[in-house]
Formats: sequence, structure tokens, C-alpha cells
Amino acid sequence: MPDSRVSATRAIALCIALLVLCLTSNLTASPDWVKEAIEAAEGVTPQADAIALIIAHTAEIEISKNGSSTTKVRRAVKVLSPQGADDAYLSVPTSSYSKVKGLKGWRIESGGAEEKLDDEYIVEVAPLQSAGYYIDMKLVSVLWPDIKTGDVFAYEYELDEKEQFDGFFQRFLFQKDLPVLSARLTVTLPDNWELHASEQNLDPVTSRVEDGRYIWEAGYMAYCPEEPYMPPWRYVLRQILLSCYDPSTSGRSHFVDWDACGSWTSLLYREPMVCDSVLAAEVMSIVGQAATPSDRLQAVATYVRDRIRYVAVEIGDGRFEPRAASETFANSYGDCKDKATLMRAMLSVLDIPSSPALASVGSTVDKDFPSPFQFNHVIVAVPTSSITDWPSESHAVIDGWLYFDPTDPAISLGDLPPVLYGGYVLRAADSTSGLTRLPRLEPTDRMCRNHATITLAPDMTVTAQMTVTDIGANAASIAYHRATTPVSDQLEELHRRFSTTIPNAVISDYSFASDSDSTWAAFTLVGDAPVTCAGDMTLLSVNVFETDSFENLPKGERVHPIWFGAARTVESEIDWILPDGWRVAEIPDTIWFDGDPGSVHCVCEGTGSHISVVSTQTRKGWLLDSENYASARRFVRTHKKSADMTIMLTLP
Amino acid sequence: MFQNLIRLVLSAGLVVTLATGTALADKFEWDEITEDDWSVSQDSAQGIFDAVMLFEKLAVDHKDFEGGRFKRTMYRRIRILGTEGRKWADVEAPFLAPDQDIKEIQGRTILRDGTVVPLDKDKIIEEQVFKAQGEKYTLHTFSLPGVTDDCIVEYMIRYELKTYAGEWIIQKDIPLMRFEMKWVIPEMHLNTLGGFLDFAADRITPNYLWLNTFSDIDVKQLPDLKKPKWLELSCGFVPAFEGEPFTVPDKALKTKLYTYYGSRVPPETYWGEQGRGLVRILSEYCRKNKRVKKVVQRFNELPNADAKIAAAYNWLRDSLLNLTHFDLWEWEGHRRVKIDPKKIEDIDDLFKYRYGYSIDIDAAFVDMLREMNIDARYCYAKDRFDDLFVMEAKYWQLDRSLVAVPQAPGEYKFYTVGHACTPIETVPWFLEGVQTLIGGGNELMVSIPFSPADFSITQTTYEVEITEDLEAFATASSRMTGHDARGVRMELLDEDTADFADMLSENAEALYPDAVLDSLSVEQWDDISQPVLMHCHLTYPDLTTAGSRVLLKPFAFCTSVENPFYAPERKTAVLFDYAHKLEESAFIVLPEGYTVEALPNDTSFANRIGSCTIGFQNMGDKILAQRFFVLNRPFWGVTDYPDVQALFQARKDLSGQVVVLTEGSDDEVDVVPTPGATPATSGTEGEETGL
Repeated sequence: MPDSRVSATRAIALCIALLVLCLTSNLTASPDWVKEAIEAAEGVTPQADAIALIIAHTAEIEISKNGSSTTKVRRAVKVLSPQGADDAYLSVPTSSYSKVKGLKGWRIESGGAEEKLDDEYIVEVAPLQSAGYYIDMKLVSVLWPDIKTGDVFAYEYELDEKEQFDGFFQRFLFQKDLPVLSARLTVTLPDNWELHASEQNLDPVTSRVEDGRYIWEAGYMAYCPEEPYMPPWRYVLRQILLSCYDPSTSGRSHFVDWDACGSWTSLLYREPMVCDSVLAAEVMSIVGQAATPSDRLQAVATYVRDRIRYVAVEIGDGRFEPRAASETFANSYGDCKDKATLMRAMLSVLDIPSSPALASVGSTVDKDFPSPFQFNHVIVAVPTSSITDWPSESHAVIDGWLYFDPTDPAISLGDLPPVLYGGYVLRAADSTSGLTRLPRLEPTDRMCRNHATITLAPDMTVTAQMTVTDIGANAASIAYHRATTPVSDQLEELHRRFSTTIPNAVISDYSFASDSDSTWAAFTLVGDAPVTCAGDMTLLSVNVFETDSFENLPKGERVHPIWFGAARTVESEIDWILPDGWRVAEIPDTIWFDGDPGSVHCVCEGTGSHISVVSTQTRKGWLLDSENYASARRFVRTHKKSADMTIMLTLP
Repeated sequence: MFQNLIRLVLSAGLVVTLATGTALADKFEWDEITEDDWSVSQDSAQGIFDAVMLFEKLAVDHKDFEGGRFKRTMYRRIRILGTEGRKWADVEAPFLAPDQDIKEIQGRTILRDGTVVPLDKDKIIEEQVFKAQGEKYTLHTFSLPGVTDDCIVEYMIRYELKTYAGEWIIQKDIPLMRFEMKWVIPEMHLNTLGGFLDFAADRITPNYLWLNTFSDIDVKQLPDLKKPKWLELSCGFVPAFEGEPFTVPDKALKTKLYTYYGSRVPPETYWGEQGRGLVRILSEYCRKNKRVKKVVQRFNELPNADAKIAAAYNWLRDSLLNLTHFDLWEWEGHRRVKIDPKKIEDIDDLFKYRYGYSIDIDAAFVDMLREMNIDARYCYAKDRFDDLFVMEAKYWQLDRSLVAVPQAPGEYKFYTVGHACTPIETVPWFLEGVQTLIGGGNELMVSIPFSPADFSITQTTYEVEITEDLEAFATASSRMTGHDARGVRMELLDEDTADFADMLSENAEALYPDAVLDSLSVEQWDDISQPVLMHCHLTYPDLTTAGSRVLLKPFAFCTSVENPFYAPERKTAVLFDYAHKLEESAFIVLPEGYTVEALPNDTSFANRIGSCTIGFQNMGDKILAQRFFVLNRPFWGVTDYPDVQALFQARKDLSGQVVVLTEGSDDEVDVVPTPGATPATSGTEGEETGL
């Protein structure tokens, strides 16, 4: 072949090779936004124990008039330690209404080498699906192998949501615990539309409107690690909830205010509560000879609570729309909205009016953000005017309405599950709905009283007669647990509880009973005395009921608010009877604390061979800001002192 | 790969032509509900509370064995006796095999008054719960309708499988009154060559094995014993399963039934054949071993067998990449890329490529020793952390290779060069106490002994400082040997050194739950001949005061101890990972102005299970508190439970001892120690002394 043709051929081959190389490189190379994010992260050193750093997180949401939306997401995470590997994975919830499209990803190693996301790393799982809980939510997850410290993982994808009930409701999480270098949310609405925003803990996040788009943006947000005695994460997340609407319409899912929310809910629950003849006949059979409206209400409430087991079918519209009452009745199962609807249908046969009431379990409600999608539970509200014989003093009666939760198997009419107290309910009606705050429980509304008479024998064994009584809001749940749990399991629970304070404990003579607002258990406990010896000193740990262990609250700064749990009071009275000739050498000082977290009061008295220990501990249930940290530390220390109360004895 | 070669030779790799056997009825029919079904009620003696499974019936149809289609129908009837029992009406179809196909589901609820509420087919939810790399798993779930607190629910699920899943766990979380299985076996027409017929029959005979049954079992071969076409297996009452802490794996404890096609010979003969099979496999694997010979040449001048064994062991460790524990990487420019290893067909490949799996490396060790005229056997055992070996189950259950070198008749030294981080002449703890199949040995199975407590020792020294505010800080320095050391090394395997602290912090936090871990470092992790050294810095919660006194619990600075054996009775044997010793010494600097008012006495507790000893010394401005714990052996029978309880309770009690400090006292204290004295260890077995 002539030289010139050889040269040309080689040149062409070289060009083709270069072209292929370029294309291949472009196919694998991460986009500019990733490079920019990595460059911005250079030199950023979060707190030493941060396991990952979110170096970029953006979402651009475009809402359509019909309720569909498209969200473009970009996210990049740098792994700072092996524990941060989980944060490198991507998990996007999808369903029959929402799909992930155009998912791309890159791994950029600390040395600069890049790897493009391979399809074999993408899995789709339905982690929540199980017997009794049917849900069409799946997770599209990316699971990279061999994640190393220093690697950056970047993703971009679109989330397309079809028209559905909650199409105008959006949520964006700026930060949970990991440090974030930058985050931005952009929302584009149809012309002339407005939005409600619930900005939760968005301190460093700024907002503006630009060219008709709503933008929220944040720079560096420091690491917020999990801390002991912090409230559930939902209270401290940096997040924003959005509800978009057309102010000129009152159409479906346009929530201008709470009345609009209530009206929408009322409409959604109307048709399913239609009662057929079979169900109507059953209602008459259930109420039997019940003469008064209250008795009939009681019969229906008990029936729905006890006879319809809880099964959740959250598939498609079933996430928000209840099943027909007749179907729930035939199935004898349903979720909270099915049970509420069935109960309302049955009450309608008896001419007892009712409303569905949206409630919230395990999540907060912002009263300034009208959206039914803040709620995740449904109960029933009955106007007390329709049940004139109902006693007015009841925690479940608020502003002329009696609220009842047919989902909780432990709770009777006139009470509410403890988790609902203090939260909001939205009583749905066609016109004026009512957003009502349920009363907050006080410490004395949830009380536990312990009593023990403990005889200490010279052979260092103890025989204790014990009674544990729960009064108030917790009593019903505990009574239900005892009624439905084998006695052998209950004894094991007690055993496990007291084995930390009384070694080799053996429990006998166990009995339990309940009445309207309390439940108690009594038993005999025999075991080794909680005694230690140091030289000639004999030390008796007297506070046998304080079996809770306390997490250490270390010195230093506190990031999150402090929460010690729901309001509660525990009172304990312990009488120790010592063997003949044994005496108390020294009575410990009274232990006392009173502050915003709660109070601790523990007094010990000793007379002859008798010791009496009386302690009262109260948790106020308040959410304390981090400025109360010193007080919180003293509260925990005082609790520990009370639990560790030790008396020195002298032996003959 | 060597593994595939083993499986190929040892499995029933025989093709037969089949004729159809007795057909199983295709149309499903519900059994009649009887008064006996309704008469079952709550019975605490039998553990019947909210629900009881009246029966579980399996019909297994292998007519189409040749076509690789196995049909299985599962039929369950459950008596609901209470509110909480209704959850048994929410059903998830058991997952039997990745290639399963659920052909039919039927269900119904029967009420006391005879009302029958059927399950609508459209209420059966079929959901894809996992999809990745072409694999899909679908879950079938349903909730039976019309359920009350006093009713019967029943359902059937018909499967078709391409692979035969021969293990059926009979025991459930509720009591089961009766289990039945009908097994239609294929009728096999074989070659009429006599020897071949016997050979085939030794591999395709239907076998069954019951384990952990509670009541009488019954097996019928029908229609007659000589030419059975199906087997009916049944057992009576099986109580609900209740797990216990520190015991063998749950699946080894549950009532179950194995059904499989295998050998007709007695178990000893079968396993003897497998042992001879191992010899054949090894021989074939090592046929082309020129490279092996070349390597061992350099060891031939070593003075004795032990030196040669050590040399071969170390050479394999240092020269071959163990793919069981490590990935294979190569550099593309400045980037490290994981690559798929080539297939290892034989020992020549192993030595050529310089990588292989555990079974390859163990096989190579045997060959190297033999080339040096040292008798060595290739062995297999079962990892006891996963399940227990069952001699009577005549199919391949063993999953870990190792090497045995005979010392005397019936005595061997064991080596696991194929397992990472195991020093010479040791095996990982999960192979201790198990039976190992020795290839070519005179003994069929030999038990691998447990290591003594002296093999795994962790010695920790705590330097504790207490501030004026009665806050405490400590530096903990641990020295670990044996299985303790291996545990740390395995955590760090294939990790960057920069990540070690993070990898181990969770373990450290579990050891010291009341403290805050400030820092952690590790040394000597990469030299298996040396102990592992680990250092932590910890911050503790404030100390307890009683008036002007401080009540110091010295062992609160040491590893946390609890007694997990609080149940008064025990149903199963107790099994720990391994015997070990834990020796802790805490040097506690007293806060300024405080002196010791009272020290506990040195105390010891000992029994067959182990011992716990505590001792104290007052050094003026410092206290030394020591705690020594020994677990003699990892395995204890049910009758030993009281002693196990006693030891762990004693350890917990002794660990709660209190030193009383007082402020500003110049009084002499009760105990004046001799510096360097060790704590007293006297005490009769089973008694606490010093209290």
C-alpha cells in the first residue's frame, strides 16, 4: 500500500480512536455540577465524628395544574468514615403514582478516578410489604460495592408524580443529622397559584421569590448528631412542607384553609359510609336492647374496636380513601379510616351523627399549614348534643365533641390513646371544620404507684410483697397487655425488670386486676439481698423499683433540644424490715431536684430495724431547648442518685 | 473451580429415565371441620393461648422429577382462640426457592355457627418485593376475611419449583397439633445392568430424617413396602418454639423434617464414601503439581516436620491471595479496579495465578506436606455458628475445609491456612467442637477439640482519674490473644488503617455502654503471631455520693457484665463461642482530698463452669481493683444450667462491689496491702467467700 494511503488510514484510525475515547470519557465523566460541588467541598472539615458530608442537595419541583409534578434532584455525598457508607446509598420511594426516571450516578474516588453507575447496582425493593400491611411503596436503591472513606457519590434523577390525592403536597428535607454544604429547593407553580409553607427548624435557610419561582437555599449546616434524650427526629428535622393551590378555585386538593381541608375530607368519607341492609341489620342486632343513645354508641364503638381487626391496605387510592363500610364489615378487617367509616355508617343507622376526625400519631401538625396530609390517622367525632346522657367530664370530650379511636384495642369510649393527647385533630365537615388541640396530659394524668414491703433475712435473702399500680392514661394499655399476654410471659417481663436490682429473683403469687381508670399487679418476690460489703461496712441498695438505666449526659455543648419522654409521675414507697439486731448506721441525705425537666424527691427514714424510702419522680414532658442542658444534666444525675440510694447498716 | 469439582463428584449426577408414578389429586378439597377442631381451647400446660395450628399438611409430588418440576401443596388449619390470635389470618406465603411459582392459593374462615367466608382471589396481593440484576422475587400475601376471636381459618398454597427444597421446618411460633406429609416419589426405570443399578440406587433412594421431635412419629410406605409409590410421614404435637440465649442456632433446635434423594446405605457407610470421595477429589485436583514440587524443594533442608509444616503454612499465607476474604484488584493507571478472578481448575492454576479460595489453599497445603513426606489429610466440617452437622442426614452438609496431620492413632493436629487470621495449629472458634470428615482417615469423623481458656485471653489495664467534680476519665489498654485477637483482625480485614477506629468503635461502645468513647487505636493487627493491642479513652458518668462519702464501684470502669441467664429453667444446652479469660486491672487515682474508708474483701467464686475473682489494694492516693474471669469451656448441657447461672450471677454481683471514699480523713484504712500481691483465690467450689 502506498505510504500516503497508509498515513491517511492511520490518521483516520487514530481519529476514530480519539473520538471513541472522548465519547467514552464523556459517557463516564461526571457532570460539571458534581465537579463544582467536589471543589467547593475541598478544605471543608466537618466535626470529627461526622460520618458523611452532603456536599450538594438540590430539588427543582414543577407543579402542574392537574396535580402531577416533576422533581429534578441532584445529590452528592462524601463518605468520611466506614459508618458513612450507608449514607452513600440512594433510596428513593416510588409507588404506582411516582416513578424515578433518568437515574444517573457517579462514584468519584479520592484520587480522582471516576466510575459511572452500573445498572447492576440498582435494586428495587418493597421493604414494608408483609402480611397484614399491604403497601405499594417501593424503594429504588443504589447499592455501590466497596465504598471507601473519601469517595464521593453523586446522583441525578427525575421523580415524576402523576395526578393523585396529595399531588399538591411536597416535602423537602434540608437536613437531618449529617452536615450539609449546600442545599436548595426551587418550586415552580402554575400561574397565579399560591402556596402555604411550613418551615420547620429552617434557621439558616433563606427564602426568596425569583421570576415566579420560590427558592429556599442554605449554605453550610453543621453536623447535628443524635444525642441522648433528644426528641424524636420529626421535631428537629430541618424541613419544609408545601401545599400549593389555586386561590380562585375550591376544587379537589386546593387547600386554602382548614375549612377546605375539612370539606375535602368530608367528601372523601361520605360515599364509603353508605350502609346497606345487611349492615343495618347487624347494627340492630348489636345494639339489641340498648335504650339510650350513649348505650347504643357504646355498643357500636365496642363492636368496631373489637370485631374488626387492623389490616392496612395502602395501595393506590387506598392510602387516603376509605373502603366502603359494607366491604370492611364483610372482611372484618380494615385500617383506621376503614374502621372509622364503618363506625360512622353504623351510627348513621341509629341516627347518631358523626364526623371523621384526622389525627396524627408520631408526627407533628403545624396549625398554620392547612393540609390534610399532615395527618396520618383517622378517628371518629360525635357531637355530645346527640348523646345527652353522656357524662361531660371526660378527657375525650372537647368543645362539645366526643372523640373515639376505634383502632386502639385497649381504649374504651370516653378515653383516647395516650399518643394522641396534646396533638391536633381536624374534625371534617362540609362547611366549617374544626382544628382542635386535644388536651395535653399532665404528669399526674399518667401515674405509677409502687409499693413494697421487703423483709431482709440474716442469710442475706429478701422476701418482698410488691404491688405496681398504673393510674390514668396508661392504665388501659397496660390492662389490655396483661389480659392478652400469657402469665408466663408477664412473669418473665417482671423477672427481667427486677433481676437488675434483686439478684436471683423468683416471682410467685402473681395476680392482676383493673377498674375504670387503673390497673394493678401484685406478687411476691424472693431473691438475694441487694447488699455489698466494703470492709466492715454493709451497704444496702434500697430503691428496688428504680430499674431504668439512665444515659449519660456528657459535659459540653448540646445541639438538640432535650426531651425526657411523655409527662409522667412515679411514686414509690418501700418499707424495709431488717433482721433483729441490725441497725441503720447512717441515713442518706434527702435527694431533691425541681426544675423544667421535672422533679425528683427521695426521702429515707430509719427507725430501729425499719427503713422507709419514699420517692416521687415527675417528668413534665416538656421540650427543653439546649439552654436548659445544665438543668437536664442535674436532673439525670439526681435520678441516678435516687436509683443508687444506699444505706449503711451495722450488723450485730 | 475446586468447589464445583467437589460438588459434581459428590452429588447424585446421574441421569435416569422415568415413568410417571401415581398421580396426586389435582383438585384441592378442604378437609371436614370436626368437633375435635372446635373443642381445642386455651391450655397453658401446652402453651396454647391465642391460637393453635390444628394441622399442617404437605403434599409433595415428584412425578415429574426428570422434567425438573416439583409440586408442593401446603395446607394449614388454625384455630383462633383470642384477639391476638387473629394475626394468624394475615398470611405471607413461605418463600421456598428463588425459582418458585405459586400456582394457586385458596383460603376461608369458618365461624362457630357454620358460616364459611371464602377468600376472594382478588384479595390476594402479589407484589414484586425485590428486583436486581435480572432477579425478581415476588411475595404473595393475603388476609382472611370474617375472622373473629373464636373461629377457624385455613388456607392452601400450591407451588411449583424447579429445585427441590428438602428441609421443612415443622415447629412454629404457635403450637402445632399434627403434621402430615405425603411424598409421591418418582418411579424410576433404570438400566438393567446390575452393577449400575446398585450404583444408581445408592444415590437416588428417597430418604427422610426427623429432628427434634416431641411426640411419636409415623412413617408409612404405600401402597406396599416392596414397591412404595408414596410415603406418608406424620408426627403429633409440637409446642411453640421459644428461643433461649447462648445456645445452638435456632434452626438446629426446631422440629424439622428432611426429605431428599440420596444413598440407601447406613450413615457411616455414606460418610465413609464421602471421605473416600475427598481423597479422589484431592488426587485429581493435585495431579498437575509441578509448581508445588518446585516450591517445596526449598523446604526440604529444614530440620524437622514441624519446621516444614510452618514453612509451607507461611508460604501459602504470604504468597496466595485468599479470595474467600479478599477481592482481586488491579491498577488501571492510578485507579484500582476490582476484577473477576479466573477459574481455578486445579492446583496448577492456583499456583500459576497466585490466588484461590479457602478450599483451594487448604488442598494445596495438603499437597505440599505430602510432597515433603508428611502425612496430611484433607477434611471438611460444618460451621456451628450456622447450623449443626447431622450424621444421619446423608447429603453433603459440610461447608468448611481444613487440614489434619495425624499425630497418633485417632489424634490429629488441625490447620486452617485457608481461613484468614488463624495462627498455625489453630482453627476458628466456629469449627471447634464439631465433627470433621477426614479424607482417607481410618476414623470416619473426628471431633475438633475446643481451645482452652488460656488460648483466648484479653488483659485490660485501666488508668482512671477522678476529678474534683467526681467525673471520671480512663484510658483502657487491652492485649488480646487467640479468638479474641482474631475477632478484631477479622473486623479490620481489607479495611484502610485510617478507618480502624470507626470499625471498632461500635464494639468498644458495647463493652462500655455507660461511658463515652473519645478515641480508639489498634496495634499489631497485621501480625497474627502477636497479640492485638487496643487503646481507648473513655469518659464516665458522675460517681454516686452518700453524704460526705463517695461510693465508688471500681468495676464500673471495666467491661460491662450482665447475667443473661435470668430464666429459672432451661430447655436447651448452653453454648458460648469459645472458652476464654478476661483479666482486668483498674488503677484508680483518687480525687484530691479523698481517702479510702472501706475496701471490699478479695472474693472468689468458682465452679465447673468457670471462676470469677476480685481483689483490691489500697495504694494511698490510688486504688487497684482487679477482676479475673474464666470460662472453662464453651459447651454445657441442660443439667449444667444452674451452675452456669450461678457463675454469671456471681460475676455480676462481685462486679457491683463498692469502695467507700471519704473526704479529708487521715484515718488509717482497714486494709493495708502488700504491693504487687495478687488477689486471693481461695474458696470452695460453688460458694462465695468473703461476704
